[in-house]
Amino acid sequence: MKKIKVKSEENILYANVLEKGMFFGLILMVVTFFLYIFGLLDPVIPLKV
Amino acid sequence: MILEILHDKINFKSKLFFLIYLIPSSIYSAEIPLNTSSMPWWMWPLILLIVTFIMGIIAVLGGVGGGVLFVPIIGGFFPFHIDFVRGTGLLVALCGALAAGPGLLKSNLANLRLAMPMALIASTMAIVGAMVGLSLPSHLIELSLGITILLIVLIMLLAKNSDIPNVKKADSLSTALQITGIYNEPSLNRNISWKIHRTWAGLFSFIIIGFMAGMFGLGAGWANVPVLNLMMGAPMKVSVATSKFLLSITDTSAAWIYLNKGAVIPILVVPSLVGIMLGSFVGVRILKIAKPSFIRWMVIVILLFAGLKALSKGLEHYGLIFFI
Repeated sequence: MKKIKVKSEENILYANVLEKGMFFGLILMVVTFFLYIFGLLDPVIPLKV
Repeated sequence: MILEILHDKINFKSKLFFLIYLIPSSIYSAEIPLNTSSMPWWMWPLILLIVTFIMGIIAVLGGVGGGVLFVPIIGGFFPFHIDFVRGTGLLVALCGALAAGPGLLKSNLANLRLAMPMALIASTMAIVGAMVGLSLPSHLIELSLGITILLIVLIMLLAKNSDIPNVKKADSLSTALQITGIYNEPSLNRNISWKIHRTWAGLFSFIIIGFMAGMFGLGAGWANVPVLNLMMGAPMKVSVATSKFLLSITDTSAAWIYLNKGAVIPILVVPSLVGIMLGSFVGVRILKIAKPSFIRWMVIVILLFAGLKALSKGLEHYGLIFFI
């Protein structure tokens, strides 16, 4: 019978990529939200008409 | 054009609300409610933050995702258009899945080989579901959402999960795809090796699950877990973890459709995400001392109310009101 590895390498690799992407997205979301709320850049959808 | 006409007719004290109802595209123009709320624009995001914070706690304690609570409750009891609620609901579910995914994969509970074939089908169907959902009138969406939520309540009441299902022989498809794994079960203090069967039936189920996830903006963890656990025979812990990870792929594809149609608004999404995340952190701490059966019943009752509310909102269109 083929030996099964407890830790799957592809799982770990995917998890690392996903983690980095998730943190990057989170930071980007917070930064862009503050840009939007404080009107630092002109948004496509205005906050107040 | 519509903007100008309405501007003359309505005294907009809350301009933000006007945006909330109108922005996605002209297809919603027939359903614009007249809002004369005297609340300042930032009140609704603040209320949303508080409500989603509580929701985050309950979601963790009840073992459900954020989306399944978010869409019916916010859609039923808040004055936002259902399209925005669904778009936000998807991102709420997505955010929870992305936050939990890496940890679950690293601990070997979520399995990439089990998730990927399901994710491929579910995410494709989620795109179709999102497109169909956005093209249907909102009363039909509310009506079918109500029925779906009531069915979820039924599933939650009836489903008997099996911790480690007995799979005698892996089927040929799962063997070809090498869907098998091993994880550590601390309560038994041993490594458990698992395999699955009925792979074809599972894949077909994900056609329906993916479609509903996209259409209603739900995470669909409530459907993933029974299919992975009861139908395909993956152990309970692996099913829950893989289901959570699966959402990060399924909901991403549907979220693009909602983003593209303009149904994702930062002012709704960001407070909701922050609220759910903070609530989840608190929920995990309370989980250690809470009684699971009480919480489970609480979630069932909340969903029952939310489902009836969505159903009644859908039926209002036909002049039937049975639930305030």
